[in-house]
Amino acid sequence: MLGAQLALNAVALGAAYALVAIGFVLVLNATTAVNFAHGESVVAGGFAAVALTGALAMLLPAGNAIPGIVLLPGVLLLTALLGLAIAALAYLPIRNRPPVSVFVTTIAFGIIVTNGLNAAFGAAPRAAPALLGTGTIEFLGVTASRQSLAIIATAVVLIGALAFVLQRTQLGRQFRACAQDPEMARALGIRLTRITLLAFALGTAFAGAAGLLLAHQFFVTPSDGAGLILKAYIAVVIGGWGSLRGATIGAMLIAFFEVGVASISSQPLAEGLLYVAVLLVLLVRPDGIFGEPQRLRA
Amino acid sequence: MSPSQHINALQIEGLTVRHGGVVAVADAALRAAPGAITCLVGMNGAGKSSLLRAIVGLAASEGDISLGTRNLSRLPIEARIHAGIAYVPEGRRVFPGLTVGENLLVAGPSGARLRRQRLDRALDLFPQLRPRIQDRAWQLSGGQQQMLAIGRALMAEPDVYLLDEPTLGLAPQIIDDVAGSLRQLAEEGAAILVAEQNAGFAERVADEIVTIQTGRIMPDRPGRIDT
Amino acid sequence: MSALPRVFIVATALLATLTAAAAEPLRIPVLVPITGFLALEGTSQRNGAELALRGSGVDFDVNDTATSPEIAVNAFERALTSGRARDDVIAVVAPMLGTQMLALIPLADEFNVPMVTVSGTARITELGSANVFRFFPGDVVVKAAHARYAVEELGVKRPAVIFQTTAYGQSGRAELDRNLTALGRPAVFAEGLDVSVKDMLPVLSKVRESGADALLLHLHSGPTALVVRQARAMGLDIPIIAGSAMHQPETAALLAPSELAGVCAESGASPISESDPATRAFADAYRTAFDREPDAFALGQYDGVQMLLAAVRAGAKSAADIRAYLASRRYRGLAMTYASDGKGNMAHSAVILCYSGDSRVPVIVKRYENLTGIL
Repeated sequence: MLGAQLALNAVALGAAYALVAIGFVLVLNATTAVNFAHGESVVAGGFAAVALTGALAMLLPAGNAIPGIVLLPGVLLLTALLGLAIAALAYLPIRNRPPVSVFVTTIAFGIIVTNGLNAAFGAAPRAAPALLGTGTIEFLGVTASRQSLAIIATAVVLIGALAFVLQRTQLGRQFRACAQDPEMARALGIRLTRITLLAFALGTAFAGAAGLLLAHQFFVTPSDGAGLILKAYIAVVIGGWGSLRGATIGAMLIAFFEVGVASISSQPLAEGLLYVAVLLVLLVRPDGIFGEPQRLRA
Repeated sequence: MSPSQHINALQIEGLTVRHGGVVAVADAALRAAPGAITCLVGMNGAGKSSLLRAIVGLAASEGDISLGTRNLSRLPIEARIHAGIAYVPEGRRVFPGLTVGENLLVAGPSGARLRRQRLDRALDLFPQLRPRIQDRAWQLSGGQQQMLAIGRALMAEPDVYLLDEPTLGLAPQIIDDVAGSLRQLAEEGAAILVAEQNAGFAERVADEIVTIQTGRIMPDRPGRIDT
Repeated sequence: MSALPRVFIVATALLATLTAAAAEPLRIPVLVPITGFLALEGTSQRNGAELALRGSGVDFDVNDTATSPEIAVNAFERALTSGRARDDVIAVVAPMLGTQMLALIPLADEFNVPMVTVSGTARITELGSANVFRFFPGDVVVKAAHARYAVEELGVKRPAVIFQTTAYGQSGRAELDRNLTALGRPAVFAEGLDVSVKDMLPVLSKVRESGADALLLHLHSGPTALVVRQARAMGLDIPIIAGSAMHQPETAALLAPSELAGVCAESGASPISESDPATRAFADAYRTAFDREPDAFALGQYDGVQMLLAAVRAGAKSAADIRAYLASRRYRGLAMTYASDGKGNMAHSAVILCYSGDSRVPVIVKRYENLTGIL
């Protein structure tokens, strides 16, 4: 029973991390820009959930018992707006400069977000409500955490919706075309700026959703961003730079190390072994597991 | 394209393109008439690609570019495409991770039904693509990719097709197929401007030949091709 | 200009300076960690000091020491060498973060200025410095209460211990082990956690597997709440007796009341649980001033600063006077009566408080007075 519980927790954690990594790749694909404010976007999502909970508690009589899932649309919207702000202020003005300029502007943006959250909420940890109640339920013969199951379900729905948009809509096709050959996409009349804004809005919204999902079990503090961008980066390096599928696999691997290996040995050893695993993957497949060598880059 | 639609001629005057300090195209003038294939012939580095890129808007230029009565010179790429210019670049540049069908659809207009109609039209013109419609574009041969690139341009039902070295690296049989498709597009009323090194192809296919040498359009010398 | 006007000018200037120096108010710089992982506790420390110092006539300025020893050292030097005469500084409220205290002790000895703090780390009073005065019961006191409550009151036979890998955590763990062994109930499982760890399932799985019948924690606020939440979420329902961090209202605020059932904590005090008028007045004033609930760190620092002000009222004018007063006198504060044991440990009593499961306000279930026998 313990093994199954740990496995479920690892999958839930991996699902949340996958949302973070996918959001990161969405921006990477549309713009080739590394968005260093991405970790702070996750944190912003967590605090958006905290703020919305507070607001609802004041407005509604039963506001204190709001299930976290109700907050999801609000969190997605608020963090999508944050994404548009990042695009407008930290990316679009300098998009023709060398990539390192984007590192600087997005790092600066991230610092502003952290300090802003610190000023607004204080430095202490805050908690978001559970998605669909706390405690455990019997699921396939296992005593499973409700929160873990809810996290997995939410992530599956969000990723499924994204997959549908990318695979089955004209907008999704345009998005993928921009990721593969931005100049050719422009030459077909696709508006690159629109796609860029969409990428930032969508990518940041996914990060925000992850923030909501993680903030119940793990709380959220304004300075959490640095650790999260590192996880996203590692997931994408393992999975293949620019691959959405790879980002998901990479995220799962990180989660399994965090939960699984740490439960057998110790947490510092698990972290060390993760980095060893990353090196091994890169030795065998330098482009990452799903790295796409046939991709065209302008 | 229904004959009742008014097709415009592409006209350029005094077009100059610079790359850094180097002049790639100097004071070029030419006209690509509707219903005709105009071949821009010249050696490697003569300025053919730069000229085409300047017309579509991927390279900055001075001078006038007009489509019919519409002056495109100050418009961004997106506007020129929507005005009726289509560009088939050197090396095809199909989207490798997208399927044949997706490559075509992504170049199509808004409106799913209209897109499907045009997709069918493109596949009518290039029936060899039909069985491969679910394959990813990177799996196609060079010739099939060229068909796909032209078909992609067709999805916009443009007035003008700009093709940069469409026969490069293709087998003779495929080159014939390409020639045939271009002929058909011209017959339907489009203006076709093809940049080519291959003088033989130009002879076979062109209604009009324009020579370009070190960035300059050479004066007309009917019956003679300088390469 | 002739000599006379020049002499006159110099004399006037000298007089003005001397007068100004004599009229300079006394200063107590407040150095506290208000950002970083100890921000919660550090803010309480600051608030307690501030509440006591406002309107007292003593100058104070607050400096953030964050989490690194270097920042604390720089802040201390700046506070003592900035602006006016150094002699105005009669004492320093020093950060409660153990690693920072350890870095500041040599500096305090060099400047010969007494420090008052609420750090729980044992070592700060074991280095032989005459300038450390701790107004929160040290590990020697609270861990005795911690262990004794678990074993003597709850009948725990197989305790598990999770501690922080910081200086605070290590020293607390050592004291806890010593007490548990002395009571005949050594820990069946122990593991240290970095402050950044958020996923507690691995360590809690090991706790469960060890067959422990109670979980003793010595962690900071965030990690404590994370352990409680995640333990209950995985169905680990054994009693949890946590460290001082669990008594803080902000820590309890992170958890639902139902998650707090079966959770207890050790502390120097719990101001929101007390009903005597003086403590309630303090709590009300604190709420009005800072819009938060007070905790034992705030109260301990408040008491400490009040003792400093009592010294000033009794005629202390210099750092040496203050040090002598703190080292020799007894002070009846709100939380408890304080007196130095010769090494600067002023607080010798502790309480155990428990949450009922209905509320976030804990109830004091046991008081351990004078655990060291000093008073």
